[in-house]
Amino acid sequence: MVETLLSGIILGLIPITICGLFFTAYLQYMRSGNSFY
Amino acid sequence: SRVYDWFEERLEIQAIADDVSSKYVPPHVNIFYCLGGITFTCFIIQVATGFAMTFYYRPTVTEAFLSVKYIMNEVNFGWLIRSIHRWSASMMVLMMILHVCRVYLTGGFKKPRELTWVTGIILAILTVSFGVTGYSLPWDQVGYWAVKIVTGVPEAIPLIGNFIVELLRGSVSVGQSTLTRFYSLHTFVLPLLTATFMLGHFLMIRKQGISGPL
Repeated sequence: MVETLLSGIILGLIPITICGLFFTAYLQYMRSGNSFY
Repeated sequence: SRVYDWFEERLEIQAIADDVSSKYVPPHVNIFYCLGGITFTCFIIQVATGFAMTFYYRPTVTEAFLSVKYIMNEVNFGWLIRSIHRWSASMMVLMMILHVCRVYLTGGFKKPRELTWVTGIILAILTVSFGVTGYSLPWDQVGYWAVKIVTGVPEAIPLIGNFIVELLRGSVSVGQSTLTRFYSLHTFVLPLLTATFMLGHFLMIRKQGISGPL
């Protein structure tokens, strides 16, 4: 039994979250010269 | 005020208030740090909707499916309560997985937070166990065959495999004793364990504060 909406939420949110985490890590890396971090 | 003084004298509530208000959100914290809290919110929804369904659900092989049907068709907003329970269950597992991704990729498991990670892993196992036991409770075709397959898995373990299978099923084959065990696990054992480990998980987070920047 494949639930389309549920599958979409799961398969959508996992890559979005992982990409977001790497993007925020990149932002921290770029600002590492800033004394704020 | 006098009410405040009365409680302060007995419970030192100012110390609790100071502890709560002295915690600041550091600048490296982003939206992904909400995932653990969202998982907890899902759990609270599960407790509330699950408790509501215990009034109507009957954990017997002859009545389970009919009682679920009754919840869906006859009980006022029963369809809504059960649907929320089912969706929130999926969302709890998903948010937990995303929370693990956040903790792992930000190094939140490192010293001194190893025990928070360990309790988190235990909570992950408990959450999946909730899913497995809850999936079979309606005793419909998917639920029945799921429980048959899942409880049969340990059979592959040498020597003690059959013993574990019987322990899970309460008998050699899947039947009433299996449903009773799963119901007991789903509504008593797992919630109790989860609440205990969540308390430890949260107390350690409060004690050590949020993990640092990368």
